[in-house]
Amino acid sequence: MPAEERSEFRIASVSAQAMATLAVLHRDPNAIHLDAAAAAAAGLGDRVVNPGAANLGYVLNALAILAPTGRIEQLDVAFRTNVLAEDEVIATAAVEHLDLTEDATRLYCRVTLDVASRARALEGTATIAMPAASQSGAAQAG
Amino acid sequence: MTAGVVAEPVGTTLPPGKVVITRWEDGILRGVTGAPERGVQEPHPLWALSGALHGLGTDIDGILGAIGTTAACGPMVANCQITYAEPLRFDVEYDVTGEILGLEPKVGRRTGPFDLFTFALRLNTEGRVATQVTFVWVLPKRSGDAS
Repeated sequence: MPAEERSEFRIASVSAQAMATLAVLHRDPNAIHLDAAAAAAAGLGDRVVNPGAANLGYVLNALAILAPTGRIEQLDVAFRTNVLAEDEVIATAAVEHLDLTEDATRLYCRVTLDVASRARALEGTATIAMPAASQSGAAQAG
Repeated sequence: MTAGVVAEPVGTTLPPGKVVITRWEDGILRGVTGAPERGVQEPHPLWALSGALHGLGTDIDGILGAIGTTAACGPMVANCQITYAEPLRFDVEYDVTGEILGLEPKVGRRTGPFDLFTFALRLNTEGRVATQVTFVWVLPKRSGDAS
C-alpha cells in the first residue's frame, strides 16, 4: 500500500565556513570548496562549491526526520548540479511504498535536494528499516 | 609512469587506516550539516563517508594519485551509494579500507573527454563490513591529457 509520508530539511544559507570545516575533516584539498576564485576559474560560478558530502548530509537529515527510530540501510543518489555558498537548499524524503516482513517494516523512499529557485542538486532513493514493534508515524503511514 | 600509479587500477586496494568516531567530532559533523545535536544515540550516518575519508591511509589526492591524477583536475561526484550493514557506533575502532572498482574513459558532447572513476570505501569492525560507500566521480580531462 503506498504511503504519503514526507519530510523536509532546510538550510536557509549554505555556509562557506562549514565547507572549510568539512574539507579539513575529509582531508579534501579541492580548492573549489575553499576559494571562490578557484571555483570561478573552474567555471563553477562566483561562490565556493559545497562538498558533495554535505549535500548527502542534508538528505540523511531529512531521512532522520522522516523515520527517527528507523535504521537507514541504503542511500543511492545521483548528483545533478552544484550547491554554492549562500544557497538555500531543501532536502526531502518521501515514502513511496512499505514492505512489511516479520522482522521489520521497510520504507522505500525517494529523496531529493533542491537549490531554491534554481535547480535540483541531487535525487535518488533510500531504504529504511523500522523495528517491527515501532509505532512511528512513518511506519503507520498508508 | 608516475610513481604510485598502477597500470591496471581496477581491483587496486587503497592504503588502509583506522578511525574512531567520537561524540565531540560527531558534534562538529552535525554542526556543519545542520543536524540536531540533542538526544544523539549514535553517530550521524554521514560518518560512513566522513569516517572513511578521515581514517583511510591516504587522502583524496592519494586516492586520485593511484590513477595518476589529483584533486586539481576538478573531480565532480556523479553518484554515491551508501550501504549500512549495521549501525555505526561511538568509540569503536573501525578498520578503513578502500578499493578501486572502475576507470572508464568517456566523451561527452558538451563536456568533452572525461573518466568515470568508481571506488569503494568501507568501515569494517570485527571482520565485518559495517558500511560501504561506492562513489562514481567524473574526472575531466584537459585536451592534452593522456587517455
